[in-house]
Amino acid sequence: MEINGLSFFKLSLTTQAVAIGERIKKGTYRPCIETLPTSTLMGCFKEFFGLESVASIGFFVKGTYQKSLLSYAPFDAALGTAKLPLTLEYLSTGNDHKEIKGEVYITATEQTRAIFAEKVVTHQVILGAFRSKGLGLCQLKFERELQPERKRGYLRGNFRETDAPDFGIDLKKDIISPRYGYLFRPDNYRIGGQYEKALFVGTILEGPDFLIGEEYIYD
Amino acid sequence: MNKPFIAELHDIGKLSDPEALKVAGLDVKGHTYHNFDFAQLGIDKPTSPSWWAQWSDDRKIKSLESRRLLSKTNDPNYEGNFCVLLTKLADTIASSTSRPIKVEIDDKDEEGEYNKDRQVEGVRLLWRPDYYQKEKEKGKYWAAFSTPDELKQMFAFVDQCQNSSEFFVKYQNNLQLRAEDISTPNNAISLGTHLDLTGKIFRVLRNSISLVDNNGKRQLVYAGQIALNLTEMAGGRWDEQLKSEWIFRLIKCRVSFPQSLVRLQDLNVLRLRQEKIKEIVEKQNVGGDVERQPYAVLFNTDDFFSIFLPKESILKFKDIVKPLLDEGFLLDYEELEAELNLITSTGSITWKNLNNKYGSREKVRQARHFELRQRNIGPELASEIQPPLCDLCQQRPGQPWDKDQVREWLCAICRKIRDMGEPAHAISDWEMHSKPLAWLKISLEQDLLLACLQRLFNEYVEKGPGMQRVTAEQKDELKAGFRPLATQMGFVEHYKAMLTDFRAVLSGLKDTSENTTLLEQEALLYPVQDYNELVVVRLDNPQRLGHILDIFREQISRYFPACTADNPIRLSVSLGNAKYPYQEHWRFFSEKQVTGQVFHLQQPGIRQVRLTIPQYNVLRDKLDGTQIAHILHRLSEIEAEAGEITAMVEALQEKRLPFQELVWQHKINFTQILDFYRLVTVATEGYKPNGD
Repeated sequence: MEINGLSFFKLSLTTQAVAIGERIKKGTYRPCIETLPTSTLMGCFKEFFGLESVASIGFFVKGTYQKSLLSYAPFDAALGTAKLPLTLEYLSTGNDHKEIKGEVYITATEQTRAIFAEKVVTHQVILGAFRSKGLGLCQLKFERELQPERKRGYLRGNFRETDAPDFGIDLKKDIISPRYGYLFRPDNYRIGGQYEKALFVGTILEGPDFLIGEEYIYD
Repeated sequence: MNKPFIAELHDIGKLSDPEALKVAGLDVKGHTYHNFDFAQLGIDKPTSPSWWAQWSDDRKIKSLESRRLLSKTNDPNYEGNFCVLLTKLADTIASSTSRPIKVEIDDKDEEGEYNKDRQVEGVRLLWRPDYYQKEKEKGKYWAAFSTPDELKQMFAFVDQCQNSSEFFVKYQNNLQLRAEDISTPNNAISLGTHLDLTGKIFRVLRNSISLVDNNGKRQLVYAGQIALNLTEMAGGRWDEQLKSEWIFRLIKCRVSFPQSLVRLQDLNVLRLRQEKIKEIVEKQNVGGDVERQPYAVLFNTDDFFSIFLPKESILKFKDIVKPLLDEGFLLDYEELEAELNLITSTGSITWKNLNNKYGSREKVRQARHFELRQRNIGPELASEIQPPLCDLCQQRPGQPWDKDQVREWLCAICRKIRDMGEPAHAISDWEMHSKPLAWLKISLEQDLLLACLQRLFNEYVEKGPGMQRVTAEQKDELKAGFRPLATQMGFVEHYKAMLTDFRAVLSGLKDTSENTTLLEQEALLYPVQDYNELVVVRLDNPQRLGHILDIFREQISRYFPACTADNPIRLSVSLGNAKYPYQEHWRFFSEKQVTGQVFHLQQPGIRQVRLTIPQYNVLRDKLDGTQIAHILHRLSEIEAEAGEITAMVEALQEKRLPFQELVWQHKINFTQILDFYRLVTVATEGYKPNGD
């Protein structure tokens, strides 16, 4: 069953290395997740295309990447001393693939159509952490427009609850079993913000098929 | 009633040996003693209400109109008779959830003589078929009562026993060795496991069901529903039409935590989880009523429990698991809400069977009550949090926590976990040794266990003693009717025993001079005191890791010899120096378990090896010896310098290395061969603290 009036653009994403952190700002070990949450993508689209509050979410294609570790000793310029070394987990190319592949879904609006669909070009954006070390350089390209079908199953990405209506999801009716976490929403000045409750991978829900991994057959 | 009713005692007679008692001159019929002539022993029959449970084997006790249950409400036996009926029901449910019960096998031979081919002495555990024989060789025996004097002791015990624990402690050995049903293939379940399950179900039923007198007519009431006989109470199996309105639940629940393990103190979360699960187990007996409990934890490990309970309107699952939720744990559970006879730990299989039988989910719902749900629950979370967020769990606001000039932001729960103490302080002392550490994590995956038990049962049905007399159609029915709950409980008990044993063997290792080589706290560490699934070993010499893996292999082969191909237990080993980030070890331990891959080894970021037991055995066997070590060392160097293909070509030409046998016959690829060699030898030699 189609979700009334909802239309999305599917964009292909390619990169060589990327680190989407689990938001651990402190500590010496920084793990990385394997999806592109709404918070990361919406921040990126705002930064590179000036898009405000346009829902988007993404996933990396399994088998095109592996997890690698990067050790880094930050230098405190003020004190002239090294800080505790950090170990950063990131996605790198793997399994004979020359590039990490991903797919990004973004709401089809006049604005996004003008940017991505009217003239198909490759856009270059930077996502995630350790940009200064060369991570996160990604290419985005329009693939197709789609009207998602409704499907019931396990969520395969992370999105903020406040973004749910943009994906045609009614939090009261469509969430069968939530798994919660938090995603960041920056404020208008981009120097602050707050963490918002979000639905994480493993949530059981009804929603657009591109959000669903394994189908849920019970209940 | 002054004395309690103990449902488990209904089968105590199964621990008597009728043949031996007959030889001793007693007139004994079967294993129940309700018709026994006590004058033979010169004693009176027991007076405890537990004694009445002997009648639960009476086939007449199926309705409230049975003779035993006709007593008046003012009869002192009134409650006891009610308990007999509930024991009968609990006994049936315990059997129904644990084995096929509908297949009638005719044991008469062509001459019409009763054939005892299917009757076997002792329990025959699916995963450990030789268990009884081995125990018997040690001098143990299934029967506890083989002489008139011992039989007197049995009756005296029935009279004196105050709770089921006394029974299980006193007759533990016999209960483990006696099968609940001595006929194949049902003898796969020990009497002890069956009675444990029966007793727990009984106490939940007793707590939930009332016997009422409605104008002289006896009625059983549960959640407002009235039933007059066992069928109305329990319904039928999935292949029957009988429907019951009495709904109970079986929940299988995994407990995980959201924390990243950054410091050693964070390992306290394992202890906290263990304590909270224990709290839930203990709470079921709160009040000390030995006849009633609101819910029953049927079995549990340190991260999983299975629970039998009434419907949600009577008892909320969230209320039971509150101790875990309050500490921030996450629960993934599968809830089966069904008629009593449809309760099973393999709900997804029955779900499919019912759908096939009735044609659609809607038709199933019209005919039977069977609802299967998968759910996640966690603590209540705020809709917004102002930064900073807790660094560890990322579920609550963080407050500063400073140590060693490093500031972290922790929530109240994670701070509390840190404050629980230093669980592995010895590891920081090990830093000066500059030796690698092996972090070992043992785990049992319940879904893989269920699949393994079904496979083992199928094999037993095909090859078990006397099964050649059973028709192919009956064998198919037996396999389709198998439910693994009791065998699952038994397996978990043996898993826990294996963990204890493994710890004892590691702690008792001695060198050639009879000195203990792995003294706890010095070179061997169980970071969380009673948590036997996590071990850290300092690898002081290159042979130590291989030696420990061999010990584990021996334990697995001893406890679970029939599970070579699909063992649901895994040993993960992650090597690193004392400072290596613990969460990286933990992340490796949390990887999805694959059927049969018992050995899961890594040198983080460098190499990983996954092996089945036969693969491990052949590698240990074939890669032994100095000459082979020399060849492998050379091949490793070639691989590092010239690549895998060049090294493979070289390996093919090396006749002393059984390369082709390993690759083609045992399906171990070249990289795995070299990596295994490096992990158990080279990785621990001249180890660099950075792990490279």
